[in-house]
Amino acid sequence: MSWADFVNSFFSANFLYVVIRVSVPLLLASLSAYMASLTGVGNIAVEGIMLMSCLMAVLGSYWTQSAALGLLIALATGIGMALMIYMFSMSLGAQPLLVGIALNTFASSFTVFLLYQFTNSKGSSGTLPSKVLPTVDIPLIKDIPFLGEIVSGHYLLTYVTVILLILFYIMLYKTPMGMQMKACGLNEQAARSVGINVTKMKLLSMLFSGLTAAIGGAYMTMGYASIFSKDMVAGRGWIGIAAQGIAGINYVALLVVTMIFSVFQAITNVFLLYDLPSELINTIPYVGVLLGVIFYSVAATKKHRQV
Amino acid sequence: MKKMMKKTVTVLLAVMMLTIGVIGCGSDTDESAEGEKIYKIAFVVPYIGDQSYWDLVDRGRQIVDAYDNVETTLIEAGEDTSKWTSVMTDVCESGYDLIVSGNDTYEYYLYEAAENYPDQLFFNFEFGTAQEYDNVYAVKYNTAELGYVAGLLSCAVTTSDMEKANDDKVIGVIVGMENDAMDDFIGGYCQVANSMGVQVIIGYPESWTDVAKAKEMTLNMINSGADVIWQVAGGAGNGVFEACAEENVYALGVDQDQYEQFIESKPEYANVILTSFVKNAQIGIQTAVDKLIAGEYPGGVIENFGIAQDGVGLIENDYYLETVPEDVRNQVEEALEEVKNGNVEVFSVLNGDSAEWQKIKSEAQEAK
Amino acid sequence: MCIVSRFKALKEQLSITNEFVFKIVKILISILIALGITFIVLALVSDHPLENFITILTAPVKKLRYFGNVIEMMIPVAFAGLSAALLFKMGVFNLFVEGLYYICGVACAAVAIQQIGGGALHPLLCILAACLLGSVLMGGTGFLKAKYNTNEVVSTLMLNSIVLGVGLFCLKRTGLQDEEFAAIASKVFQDSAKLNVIFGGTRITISFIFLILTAIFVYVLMYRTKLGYSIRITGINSKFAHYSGINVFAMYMIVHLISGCIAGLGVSTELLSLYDRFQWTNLPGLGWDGILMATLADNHPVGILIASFGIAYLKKGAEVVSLTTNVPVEIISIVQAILVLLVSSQRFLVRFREKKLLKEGMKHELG
Repeated sequence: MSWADFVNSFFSANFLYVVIRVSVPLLLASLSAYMASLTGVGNIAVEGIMLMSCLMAVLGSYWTQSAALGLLIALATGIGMALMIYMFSMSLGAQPLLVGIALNTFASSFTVFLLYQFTNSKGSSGTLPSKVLPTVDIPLIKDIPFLGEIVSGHYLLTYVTVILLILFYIMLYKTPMGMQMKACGLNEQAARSVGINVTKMKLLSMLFSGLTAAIGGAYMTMGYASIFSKDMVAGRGWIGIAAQGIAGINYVALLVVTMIFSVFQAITNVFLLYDLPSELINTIPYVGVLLGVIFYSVAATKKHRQV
Repeated sequence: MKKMMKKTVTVLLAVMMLTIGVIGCGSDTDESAEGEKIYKIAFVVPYIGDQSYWDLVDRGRQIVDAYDNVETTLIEAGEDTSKWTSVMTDVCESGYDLIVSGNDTYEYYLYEAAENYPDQLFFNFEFGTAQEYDNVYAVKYNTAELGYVAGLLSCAVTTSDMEKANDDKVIGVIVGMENDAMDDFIGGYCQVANSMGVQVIIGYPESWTDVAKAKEMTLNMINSGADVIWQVAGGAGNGVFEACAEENVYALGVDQDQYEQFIESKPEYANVILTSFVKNAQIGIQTAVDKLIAGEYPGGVIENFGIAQDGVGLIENDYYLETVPEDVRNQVEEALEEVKNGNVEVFSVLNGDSAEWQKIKSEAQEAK
Repeated sequence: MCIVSRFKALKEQLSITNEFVFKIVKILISILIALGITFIVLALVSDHPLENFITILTAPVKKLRYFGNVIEMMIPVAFAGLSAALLFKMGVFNLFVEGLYYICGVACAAVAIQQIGGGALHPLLCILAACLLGSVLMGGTGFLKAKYNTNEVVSTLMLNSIVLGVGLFCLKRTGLQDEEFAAIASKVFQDSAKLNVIFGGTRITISFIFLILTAIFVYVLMYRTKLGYSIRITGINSKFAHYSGINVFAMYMIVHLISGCIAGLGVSTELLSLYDRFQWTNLPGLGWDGILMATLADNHPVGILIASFGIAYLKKGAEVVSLTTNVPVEIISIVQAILVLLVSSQRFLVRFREKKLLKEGMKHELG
């Protein structure tokens, strides 16, 4: 590719637009993992929940021939699965890790199974006329040079995600509920002793976790793509879990890490078109996160030692 | 605890009894026609439902299944190659008149079974490397020629003044995985692009299912000037259609008439799919079964179906005829003739030298 | 009442604790429920549910070859489970065994395609290559964890994807690829590298013996050595372990090295027993299944063997059914997930029972 193309690929409004587009499911996955781990429950099944929601969004909008209802069905699925994790781990004493892994394998096979029942295809739902949510061109803003190209014209759920990010921030840092949730995760006994309803907090956090993962899934099939394809979440849920692993309970760090990953992913997609070994190029985002987590832990250990 | 256990077991037993009662004794197996010989044919594939390659085989199966004197069984052995030997052994011991399987990844197990069961007839519906066995009939579809024609159409479209074609002479192709078998689709494709001075952007999403990745890559291609993109990526290829529909450029399908596939459910896809390039896999399957029934099974024969034998080609549906202008269509016709007559030596990655392929590939990807 | 107390006395004599009995009972109930659900799903999907249900349960023992398949399927999963269990027991949620299975497989293949003499040398070298690489790589993650407390969930998740890419690269572009073969595949393994079948009529090779030996090794290590004690203590409370003088760093390193070695052993024996060339283009999923087995069996080696066998049994049954009917093969994963959920959730009953036991114990004490 020519130099002009190279520069155009990365230093352009289009690239930033692409980064935003790529980041939405990752941000939602991170949020999902974050909300669940905040109160100490943990959600390993982010990937599985996203996948099920993906499919239910397609099936739901196909059955009801309405995008809005399809979205609702997807949300219900996500919340339902998250609540299942809650129930199995809290009430029935199973290990959340186990429940999560079980749900992931279940989702992977069950989605194919369901897909097959309704479309006689194990690959994709191309033959189902499912609905998608609209793209939004923000009037006025869209005409601003450079900025307009980046900010306007995204899928509806992208803007929903941005709003959610802000809302969650407000809830976590400016409301008592946020404080209480964090307290549960930090020290459950202490939280209980000051009168926090730990059960309610855990339940709520799992609800949020399921909700965000479901939106992530719906985004995949109601805008990003308009059909369901086997295993289409392709590891985005795991990236969210990884991001949460690095950021801990630091909300801003979570968003930063996820965005860095999104940038890496967008860069990778461009590089994939060059004549380079694609299987190695595909590892770039993961190498990025790995280096990130290594540097982070080295730095944290050094700081710890200094103290 | 004991009480709960008892309760659970009772409930379970009750449910089981009920279900058994409802289902009854199950239906009896179909009775075959009296007198006439029913040919039992087994199709062993890893899976179907990919709406591309393996569904091709399944379509062939459905065609012969419709014969009065043929009964087919579809066996999905899965992608785990370690299981294929035992599956093949099972199938060989089940008394089928013909076993259909093959493809470069799995044909090893077909040939292994052919060696162990010399009286069993086999059909390798698409060989990668044919081996000579008296009980195996193997065919191949000339993917290289297919790619050549696809390349020609793409080049013709991008240099034409069709509605969605732009000024850049850039075309794109998304290939599911990077290996020799898949590269065979784009050997001729790149060759013809080179000869027509058109730049090719190749993307390997390394997945047959990651729709989003294919879409991202296609969008990037379009951003770099590609106005017609060929998808050779199975399920992931749907991402190509998404991107082309969104950006209003042309797309080309593969394996089946993808315009037809999507016209009802996703017209926005269908309306950008100019045509699809297919292997007429049912030809091979039908030929094999017809000859089996006629009692002249061509065991030991190895055939290659190219354009001349109608083994590969493009779908000339109404949409193609309406949307693609005559001069472009003529260019395609000419190219088809040239290949049929053998005037053009299409480069095949599978048979060719890998150094030469690298050369052709690099040249194709250069900006022009 | 008399019968119960006599039964209890007998149990004490045989040192079968109540807890053990309960574990068995809860697993049996879970299996019953899971089978019940399987039957219901079959009833919805198939035309001959009862027939299919019976096939699932009995097919694996109908033919020697089928039973052999069950053992074959169980071996790599059990190996992965053992590898993961060592780390889980120590409180380290290391998920790298999945990626190790891939890259160590590539290493094994690289040696298996070479021309090396006959006898036991060639397979030994292949296995050694895999084990060595496994130890080194797993040791790397152990180092990061031990020295810098790097989040192992994140690092190993990332590594799984990275080693897939690296492994594919090595397979395609460093001379392993068979040029005559159109798909991505290594050259053929030399006959001298392959392992020999030890049970006629099946494809079971010495890998089965290796598995049993490894399981015994892990058991002895975990429950009969000082190191094992340290591992278990660290798993329960790492701070306590540190303060009681255990050299945590050394322990982490040793355990990671052993775990990686087991993973290498698992994949190399699998490849050399059942495959002719290395053709995986995706992570094989065996590592994940192993992790599941380990968690299910509470990281106990014997439990892992039993769980792996059980799952393999059901899988083979489902496979046989899916080959001959139109019941999709996904059904078994669905059942597996349900089974796992139920087995793990039966802990509820254990807690309940423990409370009851406590009450009884107190009753005895007080009068």
